Amino acid sequence: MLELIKNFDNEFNMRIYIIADTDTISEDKVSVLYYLLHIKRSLKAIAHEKSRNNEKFVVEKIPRSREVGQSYFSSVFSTLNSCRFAFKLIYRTRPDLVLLNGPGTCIPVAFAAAFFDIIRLIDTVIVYEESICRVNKLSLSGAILYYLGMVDSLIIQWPELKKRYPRAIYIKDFKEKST
Amino acid sequence: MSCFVTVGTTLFEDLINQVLSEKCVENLKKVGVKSIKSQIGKGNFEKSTLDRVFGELADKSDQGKANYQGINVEFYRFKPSISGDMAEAFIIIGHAGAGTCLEALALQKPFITVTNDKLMDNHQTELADKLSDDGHLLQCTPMTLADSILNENLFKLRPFKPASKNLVAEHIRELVGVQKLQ
Repeated sequence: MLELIKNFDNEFNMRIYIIADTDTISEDKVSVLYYLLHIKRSLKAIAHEKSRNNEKFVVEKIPRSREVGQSYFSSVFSTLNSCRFAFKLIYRTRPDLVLLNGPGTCIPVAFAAAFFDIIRLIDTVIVYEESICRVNKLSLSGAILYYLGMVDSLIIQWPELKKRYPRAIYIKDFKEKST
Repeated sequence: MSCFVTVGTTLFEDLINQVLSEKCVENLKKVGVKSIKSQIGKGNFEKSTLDRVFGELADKSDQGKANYQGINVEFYRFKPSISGDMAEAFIIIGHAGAGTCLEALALQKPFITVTNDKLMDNHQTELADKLSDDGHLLQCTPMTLADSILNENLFKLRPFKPASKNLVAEHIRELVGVQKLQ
């Protein structure tokens, strides 16, 4: 995602980065450490972007909808909690563009953005970029967003997916604009 | 000319032990490898490997160095970043994790990805399978690693060119209705 964002300048001069809450990760210690390192590097890159473009940016942490191994019953409540956070955030920030790259953390945000767009409170573009790991079928997040028609563009990274999901856009199909 | 082995955060004892098997080390030497550096993650070497390669080392050691069959061998569990070790390597052998695959391909290193056939749900191999089918890397299991090393295609792999994000950004600007500010 950061590779993509580097291509924007201050046409998007107010940016809100949403990351999953790291306080409740239930994976093993090593995975957590690597995840935190990854976040740290990402934040450094984000800060670098800010200084490059003189833009404002904020990092928000969204509660996870579901932890690994969490019971489905309690997941209903934690998902609703994530939705509550997402709705408050979208209502407050009124974004023009929402960029998502899954996993499940992005679904409450997508729902909130789509909801406020439908009721005409905001006019936003929602774009989802599927992971390069998805070669033969979409992730659950991707599938939810695709079949509910909630995004303006759903970008896939392998041409194999085009047959199964004709409304998706293959990343290498974007053409150079002839000027 | 070093061979770098990585398992990321996984437990993959079959791989780390196989790489140091007599057959694999012999084959690595045949293709020109002069040293082996292994990032072994959570797993441990078998006692037989430890004895044969490293001599006197405690069972669950976190690191070690030795000279085995004329090759320098060393290992460690984790590092904050293995990018340096990957960049220095002549060839890379790794688990089939997406991040590892993409990083090795970005560095344009001859890369063998080893699938852990003991894992139940191997969803992560979807990407490795595709990259292998397209000729960007070699794929094998721990048991077929020795043969893979001698596969002549290892040095004839097709470079992997990721899509240009610039065009995606252009598309997004069009959707939103803004222009790139000069």
